[in-house]
Amino acid sequence: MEDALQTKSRRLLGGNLNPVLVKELRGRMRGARAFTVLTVHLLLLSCFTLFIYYAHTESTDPPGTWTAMSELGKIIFASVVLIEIFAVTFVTPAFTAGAICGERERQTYALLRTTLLPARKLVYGKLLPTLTYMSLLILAALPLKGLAFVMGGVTVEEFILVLVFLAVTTLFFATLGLFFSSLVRTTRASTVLSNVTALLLTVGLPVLMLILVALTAPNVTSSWLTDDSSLSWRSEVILACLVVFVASLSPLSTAVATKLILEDNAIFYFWYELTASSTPIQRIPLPSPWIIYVVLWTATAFILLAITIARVRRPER
Amino acid sequence: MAIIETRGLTKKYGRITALNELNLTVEEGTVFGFVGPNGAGKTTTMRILATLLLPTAGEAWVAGYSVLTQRREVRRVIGYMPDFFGVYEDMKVWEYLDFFAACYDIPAETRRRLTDELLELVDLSHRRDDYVDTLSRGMKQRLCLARALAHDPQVLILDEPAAGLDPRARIEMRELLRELQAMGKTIFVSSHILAEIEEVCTHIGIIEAGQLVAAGTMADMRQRLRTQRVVRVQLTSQLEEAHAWLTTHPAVLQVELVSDNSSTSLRAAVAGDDDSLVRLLRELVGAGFPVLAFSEETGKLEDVFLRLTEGIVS
Repeated sequence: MEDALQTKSRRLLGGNLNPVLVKELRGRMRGARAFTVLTVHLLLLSCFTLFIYYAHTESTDPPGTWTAMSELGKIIFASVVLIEIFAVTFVTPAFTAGAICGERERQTYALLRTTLLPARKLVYGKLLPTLTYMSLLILAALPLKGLAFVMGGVTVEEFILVLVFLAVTTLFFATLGLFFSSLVRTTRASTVLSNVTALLLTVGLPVLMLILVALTAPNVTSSWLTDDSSLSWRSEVILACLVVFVASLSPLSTAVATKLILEDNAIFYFWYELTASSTPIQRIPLPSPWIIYVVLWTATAFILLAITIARVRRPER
Repeated sequence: MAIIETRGLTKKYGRITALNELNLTVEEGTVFGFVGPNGAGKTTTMRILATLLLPTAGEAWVAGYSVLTQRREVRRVIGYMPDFFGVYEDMKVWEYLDFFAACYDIPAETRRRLTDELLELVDLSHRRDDYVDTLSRGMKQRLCLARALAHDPQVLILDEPAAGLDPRARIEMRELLRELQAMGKTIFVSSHILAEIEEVCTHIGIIEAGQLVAAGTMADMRQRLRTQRVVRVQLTSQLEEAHAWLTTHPAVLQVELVSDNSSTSLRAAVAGDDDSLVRLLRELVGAGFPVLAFSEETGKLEDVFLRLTEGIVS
């Protein structure tokens, strides 16, 4: 019986799949830890959703109208997505930060690197289980987001967009953790670096952007926008592009900016009205921040992945 | 045919030279003991041969493949066991071997049979369903050796395989190495304690401060001891007289009375070759002494090791 089970598990899980992937998946799902994390994650999200529901119902008069429900749906959706962004940003790199250096610390790295396992398989084998598990967390929370969808105020497009956004965020932060894991020798150092970078990107960058805007905006409006020269509208276009680009660097600012643009039913692009007096054009189309975010961070994720593979492939010097 | 060859192999860590133009040749089918004090360069050499470390200069080949440019081919022909290694503690014994067999591209259909064969070879069949962290140090060492054998390599590179093992586990490891040699494997094994591997080696290389100070067959190395030979003479009586007689003999350099648990005998250091020993025995008997035994003490390789190394790095 035991033998038959082993053969079956070998065939189902082992087969000729990437052995590191099989080992990691087996290790991650073995025992109660994976299911405990999932349960706690869903319980917290559910409690939070319930809290929002009751708080909103109590403060709305009259409750239960179409408008009130639609507004509630929007709030629940935005809140759940916001929590998921933070979860993905800080939990994902924690999973991958020990992937490579953990093998070094466990003194199993040399054993792996003297086998015929290619470096890319080792890296993918570490990356995919993290992506799979994070996808499980995101997908498991779909019914909560779906609740908002049923209440109204959230479109199918927004729903899909959020999934794409979370998928890219997961991919980027997973590769970031892997990259640091191949760069430093200890899991502790790798985790600290990953979390500091995540914090800087998520919170630091939007704060920096707000400070910059606050510092430069009065000067811009007083000098550029009131200037009648042909440079002013060009400068305004450049400035607008720059603001959209910087807003697209952080998952948090991207989510907020995209949400604001979605209020005008603009999914892929929006029109920016130029305010300069001597402008030959009245408005310019700008891509929605989520598009820049997806392209930029997907590309960065693949670059980080390539560097990680190269680092793992190279023998010690 | 040389299965391992290094030429001018040099490794520097900043200003420290770990290997200094090492030229080494290991013949196919031999058990080559790589001996030297701690920090002599044994592990560095082995890590370079296992494609884990790049040398600063020089070149090395395993089974004709360059460790610099043909790393994958080298990995295919070697089984490497590092001096310090970890195990995945959340894995069962069979899963551990199955995992590494998969890493060596062994198809899933054959892995079950292979895992069982390897466990039988290292005498761990009875622990196949136990978690790896429940194994003793000796068992983990044998499991790691089984892992290194998963792809049936030509060459085994074993870095201090007996380190930290209790006497029983050391004997088991030694027996296992003999078995592997009988299977036709070339074994390149290191140790800083010569006595640990002396009995299983066919060849030996002594390294100190990154340089090979001596290398050859076990017989060659023992020959180096023979400039001064030691014989044990056992007599049924006339021990004192024989002692006096030997003291005056021109070929005898030194004589002493040695008391064992049950008997007393004479231990004499003799200058000369085999013929000198034959003459001495003939004369001793001719002088009327009741000689019960006349045997040469085999010089221990430990003596060669101590004579050739100066403990520079240890």
